[in-house]
Amino acid sequence: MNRPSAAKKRMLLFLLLAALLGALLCLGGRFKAYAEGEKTEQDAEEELDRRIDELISALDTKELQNYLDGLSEWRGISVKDKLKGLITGDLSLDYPSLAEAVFGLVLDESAVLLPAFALILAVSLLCGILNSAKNAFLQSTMSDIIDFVGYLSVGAVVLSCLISALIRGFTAIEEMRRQMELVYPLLLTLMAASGGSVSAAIFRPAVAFMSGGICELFSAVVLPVAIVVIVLAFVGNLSDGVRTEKLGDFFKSLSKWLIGLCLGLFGLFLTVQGIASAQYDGLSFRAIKYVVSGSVPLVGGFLSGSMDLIAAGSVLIKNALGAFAVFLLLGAVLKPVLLFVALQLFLRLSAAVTEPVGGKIPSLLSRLAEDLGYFIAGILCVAFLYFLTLVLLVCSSGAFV
Amino acid sequence: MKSYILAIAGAVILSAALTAILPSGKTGKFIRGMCRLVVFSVVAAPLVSLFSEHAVKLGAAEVGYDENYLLKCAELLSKEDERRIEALLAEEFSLTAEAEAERGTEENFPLRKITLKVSPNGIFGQEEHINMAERIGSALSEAFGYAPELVEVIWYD
Repeated sequence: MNRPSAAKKRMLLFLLLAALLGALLCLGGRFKAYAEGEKTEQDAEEELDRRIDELISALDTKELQNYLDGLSEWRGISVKDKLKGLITGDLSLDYPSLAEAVFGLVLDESAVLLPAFALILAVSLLCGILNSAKNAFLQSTMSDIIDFVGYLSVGAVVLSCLISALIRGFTAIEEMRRQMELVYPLLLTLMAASGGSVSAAIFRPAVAFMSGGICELFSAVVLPVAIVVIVLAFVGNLSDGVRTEKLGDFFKSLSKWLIGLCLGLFGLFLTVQGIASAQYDGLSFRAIKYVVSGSVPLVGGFLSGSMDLIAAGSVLIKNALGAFAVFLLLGAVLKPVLLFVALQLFLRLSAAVTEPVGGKIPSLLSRLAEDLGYFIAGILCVAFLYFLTLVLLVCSSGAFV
Repeated sequence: MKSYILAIAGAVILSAALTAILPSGKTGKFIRGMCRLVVFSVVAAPLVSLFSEHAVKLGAAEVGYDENYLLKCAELLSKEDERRIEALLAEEFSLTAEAEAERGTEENFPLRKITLKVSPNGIFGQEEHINMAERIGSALSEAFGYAPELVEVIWYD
């Protein structure tokens, strides 16, 4: 009689233990015990914010601030406040307003060209009337002289519009060069601080060449060659006896090759180097972290954490500075490019309107509009290369933090 | 380049003006021919010197780092190291210590030196001190993963 009851008791005890174990396994995950000193996510975020504030304060943005204070659009804006805003995600862009502003700029520039447009129409009309009179009662020589004077008058008006635009083009290149000289050292420093030492060492000569050599090449060769093309377009149509078309074609070809080589070679080398160096930096950073954190089971996590905070803070500041530099670049390039767009449209419109009148003026205007494209291409090439270096500097390090 | 452009423009304009006003006789043809030669020489002559004298020099500006920022980063890391070292010594050896860590501004801010000013706290004798210093060096070497010779322990009363 006692054996069955003892077996029952054992069975009950076993079931009780099994139930307790099952309950522990199911509910155990709901209860977390924090060890003393372990941080919550909120603490970590607060610490990161504090670290970012400290790091931004240590960053030397004095020259960049002086540059911004010299620009009417950016006067009164603090670089450090702007960086903090960008880090917290203050990247709001009002697209309708931006589109309206861009369109408004084009219209404003076009409005400035209206008096020149009226003058060109008047001169072309007069030359057209005189051309028809040539066949009637004027001597051929006299009408040739009148054509010549009309052509020079239109040329003078167009060239005066072009000169102011060309000067703004050169200014845009100088603005971009100045921005590169201010922004690149900061970006390279932040890149080095965020664990991208190899990337920084690789990009250093490249960005130096970009701000020195490339800008010099475009200021001293490419843009002046584009001006030569424009001038040859003007003088080439002047007389049937003296033609400069082939010379103009030579300079156009030279301009195209220089722009193509700069974009192709420099852009390619920079991109490949950036990718390779980022891989190396990522491996070396992880190796450092493993050496520190792998050797200490408890404390090592904290020790590697401080390196992470510095690196993460530097990466966030670098990305914010990169975004800010893109806005500055747009500010330097947008207005001149829109001016050239307005000028090209103006020349094509003038050529279209004067075409029925005849003479050499429509072909001059049309050719000038076409040749202006080489100048625009030069400015956009420098802007694109600058933008590419910014993107590579921002993206090629910090992905492993 | 500016003078080159102006020279071409001037030569062509002058030639065109002369071509327009000259009579169509033999003298006119001769002068037109001379004008073409002048334009050719104005166009061709500077080109030779442009390519032979390397008129454009492409220099590269020097791009430096913001050393103050890197120093600040090294300083922040050093302070964190000091705090953790002092905590480690208190936890493992029950020692009161004042740590001074020095980090460089090079790649990944390497640790250069750690100076520990340690209160003896009942550790007597030169041999005991040396033994304890070695144990501290080993413990820190395990924690940081660097050579023990970077640690300098200074005992003070």
